[in-house]
Amino acid sequence: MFRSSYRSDKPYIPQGISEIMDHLGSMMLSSPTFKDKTGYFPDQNIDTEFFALNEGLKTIRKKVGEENYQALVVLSDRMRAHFEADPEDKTEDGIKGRDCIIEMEDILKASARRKAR
Amino acid sequence: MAHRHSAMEYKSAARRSFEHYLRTGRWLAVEAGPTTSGQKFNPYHDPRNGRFTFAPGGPRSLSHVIISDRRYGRVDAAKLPSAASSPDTRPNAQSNTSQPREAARLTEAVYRLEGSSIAPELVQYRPNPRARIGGNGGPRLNDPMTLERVFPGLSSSPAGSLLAVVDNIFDLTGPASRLTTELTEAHVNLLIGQIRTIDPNYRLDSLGFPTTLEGQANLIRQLRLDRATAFYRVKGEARPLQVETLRLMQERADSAYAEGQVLFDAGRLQPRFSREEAIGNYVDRAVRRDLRKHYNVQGIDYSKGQQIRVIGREYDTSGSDPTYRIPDARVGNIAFDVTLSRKTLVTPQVRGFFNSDFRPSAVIIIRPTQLGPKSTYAITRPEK
Repeated sequence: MFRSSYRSDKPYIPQGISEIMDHLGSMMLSSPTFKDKTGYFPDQNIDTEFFALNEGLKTIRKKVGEENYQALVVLSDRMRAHFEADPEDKTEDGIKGRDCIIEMEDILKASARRKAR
Repeated sequence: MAHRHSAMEYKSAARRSFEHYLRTGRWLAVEAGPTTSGQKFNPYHDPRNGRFTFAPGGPRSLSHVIISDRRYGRVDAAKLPSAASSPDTRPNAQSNTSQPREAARLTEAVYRLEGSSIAPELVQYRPNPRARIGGNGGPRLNDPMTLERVFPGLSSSPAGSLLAVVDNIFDLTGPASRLTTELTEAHVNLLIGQIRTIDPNYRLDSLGFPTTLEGQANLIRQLRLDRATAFYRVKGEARPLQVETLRLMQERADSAYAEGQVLFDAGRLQPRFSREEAIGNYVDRAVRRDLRKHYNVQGIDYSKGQQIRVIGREYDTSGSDPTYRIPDARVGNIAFDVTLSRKTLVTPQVRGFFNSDFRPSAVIIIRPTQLGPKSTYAITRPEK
């Protein structure tokens, strides 16, 4: 274990819809364990990834509206439960977890389109 | 030379004997004839090439000199990728801007960027045989600090050229596996020394030197990032950060592509148009997310108006109606784009990058290495 004085302890929190979309895209590929394979983020795991996602959702609460926000939080919780139930990605839970990501993406896209009008 | 030789002839035998005593600690008999040439031991080596160099405080009177800078050509700064960056744009500049230019150049000479010379031996990668007997810091790791070293000819190629990345340039575990722990530790110490030369307040806390190869590679990776960050924060120099950004994007693109392939083949990614589109969409997003995360952890500001951007609009205000393009990343005057498809100057998106107000000197197209050799390449500016 090593830590340089340049590395901040502050976790990365995605800001805005597009950053959350990118975060979800990354989660889609690294699920269900969410371990980093590049070596740049050895501390990354399911806890850090869902913390970032849920904190990121708070930053867009007003933008997407309360109803959408609550739906996104429910989907996030459900997604985590599915991935925790299938850490080796061998059962239907892995697929259901990724379905949650797609549903979340659809809500975010719809919100972004509505805002752009 | 002849004059100096003749001057030697006038030295008395006693004086020669005394000089020999000073050099060797042994007395020569006064009646002994002229001595043969003596041998001296020089412990100072340039860790990049194993050649002799000066001791600290040598002829250049610089502290921590480790580079035989007279053996390399001068950098033509105007030709290098981030030459456009002005000292005033330094994010946390500590130096006085009224400092004479000469002094600034000497300061940079301590760790002079290697933009001016393309060393062919780097392409071929040969461990330094001297490493076996120690003393030189071991075999050279592939440790480019400018894009010029990653894409040889970047600053001198004809406009609009496509330049491939040097083979093996980002290989971290390959060279590391050839190193012993002792040599890796020496390289780690070298990196820490380089960072502290730029930023004396730099600190690395550790519970001990990593015992695994993976841990050692991660440590070297982290130190390279820190060195690039130090250059950017303290000196306003973005070139090392361009290299580290490319390295990070390439490594993440590779791992994301591999993950995407596995998911797709297992039927866990639903294609909307094609396989490549399904995977590529996620690869782009994963790379951008990790880049933001990396800049965030390193405390690098990538918001609007900065030299560093991730998914930032780059406007072209030359026409009557401003237009914009969004490269995946921008570092200094280099644009980066992650893609699975091959893009060239003919691609409107690439032309749009070049036309934007920040006038990139090159666009780097990053593609997963699984797509074949020369997958990642740089496109130089179409017109100078």
